Order: sequence, then C-alpha cells, then structure tokens
Amino acid sequence: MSLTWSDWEDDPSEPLGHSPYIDWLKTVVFDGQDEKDGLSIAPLPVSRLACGLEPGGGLCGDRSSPAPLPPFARKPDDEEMAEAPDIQLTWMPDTDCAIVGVIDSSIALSHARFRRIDGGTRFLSAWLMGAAWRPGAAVPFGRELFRTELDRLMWRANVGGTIDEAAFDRAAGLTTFAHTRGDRNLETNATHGTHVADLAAGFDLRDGGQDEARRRLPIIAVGLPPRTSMGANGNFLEFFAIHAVEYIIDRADRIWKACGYGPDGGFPIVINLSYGLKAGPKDGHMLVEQVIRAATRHAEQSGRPIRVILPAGNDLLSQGVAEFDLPAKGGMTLDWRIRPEDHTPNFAEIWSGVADGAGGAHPEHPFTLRVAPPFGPESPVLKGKAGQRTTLTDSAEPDKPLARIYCRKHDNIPPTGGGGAPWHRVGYYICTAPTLNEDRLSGAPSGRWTIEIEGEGRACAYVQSDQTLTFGSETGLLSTFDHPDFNAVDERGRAIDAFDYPFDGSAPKLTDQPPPITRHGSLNAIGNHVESRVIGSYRATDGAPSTFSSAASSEPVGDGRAAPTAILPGQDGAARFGLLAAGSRSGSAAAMQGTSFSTALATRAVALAMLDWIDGGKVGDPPGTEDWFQARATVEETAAAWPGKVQPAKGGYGRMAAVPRGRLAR
Amino acid sequence: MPESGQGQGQGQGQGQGQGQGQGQGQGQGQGQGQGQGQGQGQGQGQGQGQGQGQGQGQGFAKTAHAGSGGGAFLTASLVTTHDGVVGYWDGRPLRDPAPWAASDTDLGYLGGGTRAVLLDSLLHPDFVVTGQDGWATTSVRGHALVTLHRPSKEVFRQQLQMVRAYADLRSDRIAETINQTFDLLSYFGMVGHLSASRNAATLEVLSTTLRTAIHVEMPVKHFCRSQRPIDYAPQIQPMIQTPDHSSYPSGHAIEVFAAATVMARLMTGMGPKEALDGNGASNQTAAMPFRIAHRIATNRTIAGVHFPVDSASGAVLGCAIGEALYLIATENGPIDWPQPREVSFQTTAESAAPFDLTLGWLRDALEPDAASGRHANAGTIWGALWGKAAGEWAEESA
Repeated sequence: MSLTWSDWEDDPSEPLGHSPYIDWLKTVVFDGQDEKDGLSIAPLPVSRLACGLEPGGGLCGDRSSPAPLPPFARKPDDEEMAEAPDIQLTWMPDTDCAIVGVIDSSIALSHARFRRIDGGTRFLSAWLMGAAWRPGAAVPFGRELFRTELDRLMWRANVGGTIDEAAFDRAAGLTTFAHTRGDRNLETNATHGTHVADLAAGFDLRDGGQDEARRRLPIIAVGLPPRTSMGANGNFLEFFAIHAVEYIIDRADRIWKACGYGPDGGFPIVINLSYGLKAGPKDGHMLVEQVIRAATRHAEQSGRPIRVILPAGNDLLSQGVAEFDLPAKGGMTLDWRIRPEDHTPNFAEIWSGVADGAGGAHPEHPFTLRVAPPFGPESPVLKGKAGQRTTLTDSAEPDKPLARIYCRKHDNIPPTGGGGAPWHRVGYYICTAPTLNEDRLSGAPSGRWTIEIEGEGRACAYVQSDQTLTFGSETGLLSTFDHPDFNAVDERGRAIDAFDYPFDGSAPKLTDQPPPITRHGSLNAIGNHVESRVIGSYRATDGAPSTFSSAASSEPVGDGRAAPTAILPGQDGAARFGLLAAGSRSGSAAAMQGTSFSTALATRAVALAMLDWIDGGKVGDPPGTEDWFQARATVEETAAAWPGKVQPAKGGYGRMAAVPRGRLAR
Repeated sequence: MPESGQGQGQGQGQGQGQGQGQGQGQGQGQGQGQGQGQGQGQGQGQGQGQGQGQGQGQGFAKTAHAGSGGGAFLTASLVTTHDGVVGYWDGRPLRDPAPWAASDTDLGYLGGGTRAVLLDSLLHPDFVVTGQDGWATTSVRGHALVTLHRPSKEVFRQQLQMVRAYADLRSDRIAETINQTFDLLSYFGMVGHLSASRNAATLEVLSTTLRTAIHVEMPVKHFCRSQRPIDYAPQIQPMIQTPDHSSYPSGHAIEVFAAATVMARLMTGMGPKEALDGNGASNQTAAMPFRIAHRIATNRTIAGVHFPVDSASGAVLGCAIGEALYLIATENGPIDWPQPREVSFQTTAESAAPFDLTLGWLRDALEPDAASGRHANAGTIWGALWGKAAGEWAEESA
C-alpha cells in the first residue's frame, strides 16, 4: 500500500454547484454512476425557495441538483409535474385555525391522535417524498395526498371495526414493501416522525376538552425520505428540507384561497423541523437558514406569521466540535478517530473566520492543513483555494480514492442578492471513504487520522453527522475528534457537560474543556440563525439541562447564535428516559429522548398560543418570537423554582414548562 | 402407568426454573423444549403444584408425587416406609371406591397430560391428509376441506423480495420471534385470560386446536415440500434456525389461525369471515385473535424462514381446521361441511408488488362461515369440553 496525496487541482464539481457531499457520495458510494443498488442520485428539481423565489407553483426553472432518491419515487422524464395541486378536502379548515407543519420521517397519518371526532383525518395534506410518484402529481417527486384521499384510504382499510393501519400505510405509500429501497419504518414499534407529530399536535379523541384545539389545529405533513435517501451524513437534508418548508407554506396559502377566505392573509403556520446537522459554517447562513429567513420575513410582511422551530441538537457529548484560536506558532493538531468496519463515509469541516467582502470566486483558505491517515503518509502542507481539491489514493487502486479534501467558499449573500454587508469564509471539507466497503474487500484506513491546522485566527472544526442507513443497524459509526487535553468523563466517571448544575442554586461553573475540543459549538448546524426558534432539552425531574443537549459556540461567528432560544423537557418521568408520546400504531406509546422532542413540545406551545392570539383579534405580536419565548421562560423559571440554574449557552432564555394540554395521558 | 416426557418439559435445576431446551432436573418448572425430568409442572403452561397445567406436546410426562417429583430415591424411601407402617394385611379391601366419572364426557378425573392424549386420539383420526408431490388435501371425515398447491419456483423467487423487505424489521421483532418459536398461547392469552384457574376449558380447547393443527401440518408440508428462503440466497441469513421441513405452508400460520378461529368462535360465536368484517363490539373482539395470528405469521417472514405465500396458505388451512373443530363440537345431526377450497399462487406482473398476506385478503379467500349459534353437543367428549369453554365467555346481559 503506497498512499499519496495529489496536488491541489481544480474541482470539477464546484462549477456545477455540487456540494462536496454530493461529489464524494457519488465518487465512493455510487462509483461515479448516477444509479447503484436501487438508488439513483440523478438530479432532482430544486425548490423555488432555494433560488430566492417565493413559494408558488412550479419550480426553480430548470435548476436541479443531484439528490438520492429511489427510481420509483422520481417523476419519469416523459411525464410533467402538474402546475397546481388538485386540492380535495373532505372538510375545510375554518378561518380561526392555525396550521401545524410537521417535517419528519415515518409519520403515521392514520393514527388516532391525528383524527377528528368523526373519524376523519386532521391532516390537510401530506407530501411523502420517498413514496412512488403518480402521474398528474403537483410535487416534483414522491407523492402528495390530500385530506379526502386520506379519509378514503382509512375507510377502505377498515377491518372488523378498526382501521388496519398497516394496510392504510401501504395503500398511502407510507410504507413500501415492493422495493428494497422503500421505507418501512412505520412497521416498527415507534418512529421519530409519529412521536414528534404527536407531541406537536396530537390529541386524544376521547377528550372532549380538546375538541376546540383539535378542530383548530389541522396539520400539513412532509414525510422526508428514509435515510437511504437522506444520506448517512445528512448530506441531503438541506435539499429536502427546503422543499418541505416551501410545500407547507405553499399549500397552506393555496388552501386558504381555495376555501374562499380571500386573496390576502392566510393561516398562521408553525413548522416543526426536528432535524439537524452536526457540521456546517454555523454562522446563520447555510442555504436552508437563508431560505427560512426569507420565508419568515416575507410572512411578517403579508400579515400571516410563520414560525419555524428547530432542535438545538443532541451532540454535546459527541466529541465532534473543536473551536479554538490558532496558536501563534506550531499550529494545532486534532486527532480524528475513524472507526473500523464503518460502512459509511466520514466528513469533517474546517472553517476559517469571517473575512470582509464577497471574496471573489476563489478565495484562498487562510489556514494550512496537514492531514495524515493512521500510519501515514503525512500530506504535504496544504493550502487550498475555493474550487480546488486534493485526493488521497493508494497506488495499488488508483481508481478508488480513500480521502479527499475539498476547499469551498461560503458567504452571507442570499440567493437573490441583497442582504447586509457581505462577508465570506472558506472551508475545508475532509472526506474519507468507508473504512470497510460492503464487499469487505477494501476500505480507507481506520484509526487515528491527524489534522494539523496552522495559521492566524480562530478555527472551527466539526465532525459531520453519521447515522446508519437502515433502522436498528450499527454499520455507520460516528467518528470523533480527540486530543491529549480532552477528557470525556470526570474522575467519578460522569460525562462532562459544558456546565455543572449545583443544587444549591449557585451559578453553574464552566466545565467545558480547554481547547481545542469543546462542547460549546455543538449547536445544530442548520439552527444557528435567529429567525427560527432553536430548542434544547432539560430533565423535568430536577431541572438539570440534559447532558446531550447541544450548547452554542462561546464565540459565535458571523450571525451565528450565542444560545438556543430556550429549553423544554426532554425527560419528564422519574422512572424512564424521554417523553411519552405515540408509538407507530394507535393506542401504543413510546418514550423517546432528544431535543427533537423538546422541539415538538415548543411547537405545541406556540400553536396553542396562536389560537389565543387569533381569539384576541390578532392584536400584538403573534406568539413564538424570541421575545415571546423569553417572557414565557422567565415566568416559568420563577414558577418552577428549580434547585439549580442554567447558563444561556445551553439553556437560552431558560426552562419552559411543557404544555400539558392534550398530551398522551400516563 | 409409567409416563415418559417428550414435547415441552420441565425446567433445569432445582428450585424455580424457567427452563428452555433440554429440561432435566427437578423443581417447579415452566419448561419448554424437550423435557425429561420430573418436578412439578408438565409441559407448557402453568406448572404448579402437582403438575397441573396442560401439557402441550406429544407423548407422556412423568407424574409427580404428592409432595415432590418422582425418582429412585423417593421410591426407595416409599418402600422402606411401606415396610415400616403397613404391618400385617391379608389383602381384604377396606373401602368401596366411587366411580371416577359421572359419564363418558366427564374427564375431570384425568390430569391435563392424559386428557390431551385422549382428546388427540379421538379427534385426530377425523383429519386425514392425502396428497402427492406438489399438492395436499386436508379432509375431515372424508370431506375435503382445503387443497394446497405448491407454487412454482418463480413465485418463490418473486416472493424473495418481500422477505428482503421484511428483513428491515428484524431488530424490532427479536423478542417476539424467539418466544414464538415455542410459545404461541401466551399471545392469545393477551386477548382473554387463559390459565388453569380461569377459562381453563378454553385453554384446553386451544391447546387441542394447536395439536390438531400440528397433526395435519406435517403431512401437508411433506407433500408440498418447498425450499426455504435461505435456500434461494445467502443474504437471507435468518435470525432463527431454519426448520428442516417445508416452507410452504407455514406451520405457525396453520396453528395460529386455527387457534384464532376457535377463540373467536368461543368468545363471540362468530366465524372468521364475520370476525374480519363489520364494526360491532363483537367484531372487534373476534378480530383481535386474528390480528395476533397475522402478526405471529408475519414475524416468520421477518425472521427470514418463510415467504408470505406460506403464511397465506397456512392461514386458509388453519381457519378451515378451526371451523371443522367447531362443527364437530356442535354436531347435532349430519354436518353441513363447507365446500372444498383450493389455494394456489401465480406469479405477479413485473410492475406489480409481489403477494403479501393481509387480513383483508384472508377474509375474501375463505369459504363462507359455518352457521353461528350452533350449540355444543354435550353428549360427546369434545362437544362437552367445547360447551364448557364457550360458557366461560358468557357476558352479563345488558
């Protein structure tokens, strides 16, 4: 084995607008092809919002981007997407409604917690991105179902007086058994999407006290494609999430007009997007963040509020963050531990600080890098320009790159231009191939890679998300940073959090490690903008922030957040972890833990408050702003009188209580 | 009568045991697997005290003594005790014993294991399987009930896609699958309380139903002998050991759908088609055992040891067996047997999804239910037991 790094060369994927994730996935997983093993990475149409346009019919002209989706979910080339959806609602939402948008995976659309008293569904529409496409569809891929069709499918699935939810799921395209790459997670006992949707908007049919809330909170759902499409590294989350946000806003407005409520105004919308990425520039200007910013600002102007609620992230303990000032001499070396038998690629991003101006087409990265796989060879000292790449190959197999470093530019300029004073940053994306391919014949080196960074200024390094492609599997292993100064646990063996939690009420002490590896800066990469609410978790037994709940950077870059908005319960029982909410089937319950679920509780609180705002004549600011969360958190902190205090970097404005109204009864 | 154990047995070791596998030793056991051994409890079900409990499984089981299991040591001590206490006795009787049973249908004097053997001897001869390489007909008292035709290899090849699809659910079903390799009644025991102390006759009827299904399934499998998923691809890698007998039909499916049919009849009087149709409270009660049966059958596909067509054919046969047991129990004159049913599977078109079993499909595939409201014939042993079981589900009138 003789490994060599190439010289920097022009990266052909950069002018195409393909992110390093797309290019690397295509290289090492798809072997350079468009299709492999039942999955296609051929281009899919880009959302209008990604082009800076407003939601509406049609797409972003001809713009498309490679994204993985099985062939059956794609529109065939010889078919056309319908210009406008055929809106069919068995029951129309009233003007006093607020719409809850849920963007998640495996949402059980026929679940009793999402039904009306007459047995019909509360979902106005659903876009199942991973389901088989149908001719005449008004979505560019996947399948759309409106309320009438959902009700009809539930009726047809009635067996012996109960809805056969498994049969409904198949008929609706929520589960696909006929294709290997189909999504079948709803046949397991509990799914993320159903749990989140229940916490955000579920109600018990037997509870007469919730009839009003149930009627006034219809739901629009977007079922994200399963992980086999989303990518183990969340690579394509942005692509699908932007489509999802557009869909919810577009359909909400169309339904308002179709109900005859007039050309202006619309339903208030509260969107729950319980997803995140671990790595990114974290400065508030990822494309999805710019899209949300534009959409929510536009909504303010049209007098119809939109709130987007995101999780802070569960990555405080994941050892995937290193934010540090580079030493004057010698540089900083980070260990990057990549596991053996890891069947998915690994990614780490190294970001420079902010530099004024747009930066031109190919700015140089201010830092030099030296990357070495375990057992060498060390790379030469590398300094790249945006639009370049260098590749590590084994001379014995030159066609199978083992690693690649891309250099890319990032800036704060929105898709349509405008915005504030421009600035830019440059990032290195270090990508490694799986350390064991599925055929187990070869793989990239595993163990302790080293990344040596030299230069002036502050560096931000992040390990990207890495999940397994199939539910319950262990084949995609998370890589971590390491450093001699880092300790994961204290002398008692407890995981070290960013702060401690003294029960005597004294100020929490900073327990985060000295650089380079930090717990601060673990905030969700798509949740660093202030226009959305970003929600972390705390233990509702003693008020301690959940150890996994991410913390914002101690020195946010650009417009990055200094703190999440607030924290809500992530665990509310003394005898189990997590929050109790719906399992996949009606009548079942599951306990799940994570900031995703605290986020859903925040969505619920905002949605219910929207109804009060509507009842009050829509006077004053609609609920769900940062100020609103601050006011609520302040009041509820005082009322709860927790024994310990929280620091803003983890707790934002503080601990809000969960709204008990309509929650699954224990 | 000396009895040796087979089928489910007792637990390992001393004391309270929950033994699996080869049970040896003593103590209170709830043993499954090949049991030899002694101790309280026989077979599956509640073994407590003197081996109460319905032994499932074939053959005989060692009977416990009044205070402990048997064995050479106890016997030796009984011999010496006898010598020490009997004294002189010339053999004249001192007591005049009363009859054990008031009538032929009164089996209360027998333990569960013996009753099981007796019931099987009476019932099993009524069920006969004939067939030849590729098809098998199950008949009851000479009337053909169901003929199963082995699907072509091409059908199984198409079905393999479903086995692959279901494999994604494996981690969700580990506990169920392992338990269901030896215990099916506990799952039906969730629908209604089944134990030696409550609804004991129903438990006995259901155990008998399972044994009847087993009696039928082996010759049916032999005539239809078909390879298992593992035989078609090395990627299947089943999560439990593949049994040695035919994939088609699924024995589990035959057993659980027979049990579901019988349980629905006992609890509500409804037949399978009616149970799976309609909206009333009784329908929901009657449908529940079928939903459990469907899940158990599906778990076998998830485990990688069956194809959906195996479960479908097994379900049709199981329901027919259950209905036949109902008709025999309620026999009051010539029985109006259902028309014979043929079950076969064709390949599906390229663009269509391969066959998958749903309760909706089963409802439509069955012959019309036998008439409801038939009364058990208390004059037959099986009828008397059935009547007692049905009576356990009487509800308070409104």
